[in-house]
Amino acid sequence: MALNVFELEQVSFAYRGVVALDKVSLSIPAGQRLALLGANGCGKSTLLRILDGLYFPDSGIVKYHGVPLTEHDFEHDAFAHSFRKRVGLVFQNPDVQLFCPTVFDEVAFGPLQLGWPKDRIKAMVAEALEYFEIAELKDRAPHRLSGGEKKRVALASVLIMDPEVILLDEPTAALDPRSQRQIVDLMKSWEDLGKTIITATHDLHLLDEIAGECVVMDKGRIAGRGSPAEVLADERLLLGANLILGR
Amino acid sequence: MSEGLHHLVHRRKGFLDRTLAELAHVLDRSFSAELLSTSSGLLQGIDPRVKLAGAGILILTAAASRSLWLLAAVFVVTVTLAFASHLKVRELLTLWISVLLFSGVIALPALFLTPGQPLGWGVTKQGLQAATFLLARVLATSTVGSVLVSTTPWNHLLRAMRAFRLPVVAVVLIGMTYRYIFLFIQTTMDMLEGRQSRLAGELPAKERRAMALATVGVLMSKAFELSSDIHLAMQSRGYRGEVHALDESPLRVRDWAILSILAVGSGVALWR
Amino acid sequence: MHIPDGYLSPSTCAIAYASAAPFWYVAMQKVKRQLHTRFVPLISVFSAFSFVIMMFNLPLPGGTTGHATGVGLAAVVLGPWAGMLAISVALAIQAVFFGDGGITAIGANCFNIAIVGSLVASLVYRLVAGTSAMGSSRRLLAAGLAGYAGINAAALITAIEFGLQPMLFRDAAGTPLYAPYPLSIAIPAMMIGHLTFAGFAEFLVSAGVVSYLQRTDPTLLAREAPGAEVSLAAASLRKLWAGLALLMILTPLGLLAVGSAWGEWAPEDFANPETRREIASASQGQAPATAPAGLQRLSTIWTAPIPDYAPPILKSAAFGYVLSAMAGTGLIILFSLVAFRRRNV
Ligand SMILES: Nc1ncnc2c1ncn2[C@@H]1O[C@H](COP(=O)(O)OP(=O)(O)OP(=O)(O)O)[C@@H](O)[C@H]1O
Ligand SMILES: [Mg+2]
Repeated sequence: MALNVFELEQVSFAYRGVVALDKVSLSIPAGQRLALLGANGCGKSTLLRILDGLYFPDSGIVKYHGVPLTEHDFEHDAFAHSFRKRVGLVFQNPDVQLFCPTVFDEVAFGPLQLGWPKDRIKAMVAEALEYFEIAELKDRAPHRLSGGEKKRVALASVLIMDPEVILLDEPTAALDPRSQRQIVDLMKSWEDLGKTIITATHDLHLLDEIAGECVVMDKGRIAGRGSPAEVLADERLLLGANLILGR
Repeated sequence: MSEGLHHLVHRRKGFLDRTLAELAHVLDRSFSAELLSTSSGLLQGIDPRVKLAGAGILILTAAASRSLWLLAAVFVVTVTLAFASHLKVRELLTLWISVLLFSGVIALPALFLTPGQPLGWGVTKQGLQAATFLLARVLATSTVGSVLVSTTPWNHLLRAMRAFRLPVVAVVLIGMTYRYIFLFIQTTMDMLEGRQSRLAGELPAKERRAMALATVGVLMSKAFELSSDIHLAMQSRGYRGEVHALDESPLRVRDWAILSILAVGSGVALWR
Repeated sequence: MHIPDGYLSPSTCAIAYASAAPFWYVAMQKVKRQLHTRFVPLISVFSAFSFVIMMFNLPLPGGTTGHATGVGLAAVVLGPWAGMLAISVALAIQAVFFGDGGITAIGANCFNIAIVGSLVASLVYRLVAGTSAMGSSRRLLAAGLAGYAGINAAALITAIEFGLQPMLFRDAAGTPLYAPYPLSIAIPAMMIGHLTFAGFAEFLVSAGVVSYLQRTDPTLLAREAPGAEVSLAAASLRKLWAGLALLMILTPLGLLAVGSAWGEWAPEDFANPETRREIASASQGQAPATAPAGLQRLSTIWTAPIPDYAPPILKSAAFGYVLSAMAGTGLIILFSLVAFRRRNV
């Protein structure tokens, strides 16, 4: 039995009265590549933010490696630093994810905040820029990047910390097919590294490449779970969750 | 449809167009500065910290000068450096014309209003000199500033500020603000252009005002939403309230030499 | 409104920086304490917003358009301290990267617009809005007046700084070396535009956006609108009077009412009978026959307790001005801390 990275028990969350998650229970084994599927507003982003320790449930429990995660834990530098290093989230909106003046600063931000040795950071950033093929963009401002470039910078800024859990919020949305392919290829290359990768997406056609398992969400609840092939074959599930149009 | 088009073409410049023009101007300006500052040229090859300190010395010299000759010297040195760095003549001319127009209007009445030795037509010698001083100073200082930002990538300028003991938090605030200015400009332009194309004719003043204010209101709501999301994104990457930054390499001997010569030179020029 | 380089002497600029610095420091401490980790993103994004607002052309009555600084809006939504930081950052970026306003004058521009503007705007907002309901038209009016008063206070301070230049900085032949106009010209010239168009633009932006927020997102107004059930206690009445006194000092109308703005008389004016008569009418028939000792002493008052062997800089008039500016700054900070004690940011 694989160990679970995350376990959610009856997790509910609301934004000032707007319910976003409604008694969600979910366990995510280590090393799994999980896709969160669902229509707009079903609560995917909210769930990812809860997994990343940014929001805390109104009720219910989130366990990380079997230990409940609370707001209080994050007041301690040691815990906060180790969690932030080990769990990384790439936000849906690049204008939120990329808040630094330049690409270089962006990629260096995480390591600097975690207090890594400064003489090592420059070399690490250079390496990450190389890996994501954005080295020539290093002095560019984010508003001078294309959508695909922004996404790669966003990935670099999170993956430079070499997290064991990677949370991706719609990494392929609003990209042209070539840029989508680049991102998917990158994601596939992490498969062998044993990382847990949780991806929120609507792109059904990429599903079997980016995920080994799918969770379908509908209006803040879990509507179904299964392998990509099972989920894609379940027309009723997809229709009910507004992922495909009825004829 | 054709009637709408007709109105669009014949509409006189309203607040929408003017605001759009100003926003586009900022984008343009930053873009051309970015192009020039990353091309090759004399000033482009100099350490940004040296340029920042050098520009500071020149501006202070011009601001403190009591001699028109010294002001002229600062101006000539700066313009020479500008040409050695491939600054476009047209850009400098645009700057000078706008500066002279703005300050000229302010300086003009001083010719007549300053008490002193009459020169005829109500102009006094002191008035003439005061107006000349004001214009010369404004011209010299604005040219220095413009040459600095056109030959230095703005993020290098930002890092240079840190070298001069500006607190890290101030530099981070300026950097992040600068980054989001462009997002807001883009958002605003999208919003205004959407409205512009939807509007068939000229609206009554009251409605135009309401529209402008609604745009500002929407922008502000977005600003708050954005700031709380950015806060989460920062936290997610380990931000705990203190911002850390990479250290800069120390200045080279050559850089110190350039700065010392400049500082001593301007000190001597001011003293005399 | 943004002072370019060359209009103020370097010493004036230095004093302005020195006066602004303690406000920045106090504001930074207070806002950091209140916002914790939200400090950097909130202030940055709001300054970016203010920067863009400063470029808006607002349609004004009479077919003209005008710019607002957004200082009233910042004070109403963020409070005086966070507001002054956000506007300061926007002003600094305008000066350094876009040549709008001088680099030597950043201190002065921030002091005038961001600091004085925010404090006055915030004070007016709280006084006028009182504990009125979030959606009330009284709160709307308060926001508008806050913008109007804030920008006019800023303009007045700016005009005074301009007007002091020819008094203090001339060459041997009497040529003004910086801004050439005395207070009697600088103040009306500056205030006419601000009491009308610029003030109106600022009124519009603050009131208009607050009205928009009242309808769409009143929570954004909550941080600067203390609960409506709190009644005006004795303490806040005292604040009211203190605030009114400050406003009277700052109000441009008070100064404009006096035919020739006081304080502008250079010492030699007192020898001129014509001017003396004018001064007499302005100060109710009590024109001193010689230059008032006060005017002369103002520059020496600080040097009195300083021993003769002290370095000359300590005995200069400029040093006196620096000290008075420092003292003034300290007093305003103290006042603001008391006035905005209960709920800040
Ligand atoms: N900051 C917020 N304030 C109020 N409501 C919010 C906020 N963020 C999200 N919501 C609401 O919570 C619900 C879930 O939102 P969430 O962003 O998690 O959905 P999502 O599945 O990520 O949607 P999308 O596919 O559009 O990104 C939605 O109804 C949304 O309107
Ligand atoms: Mg989402």
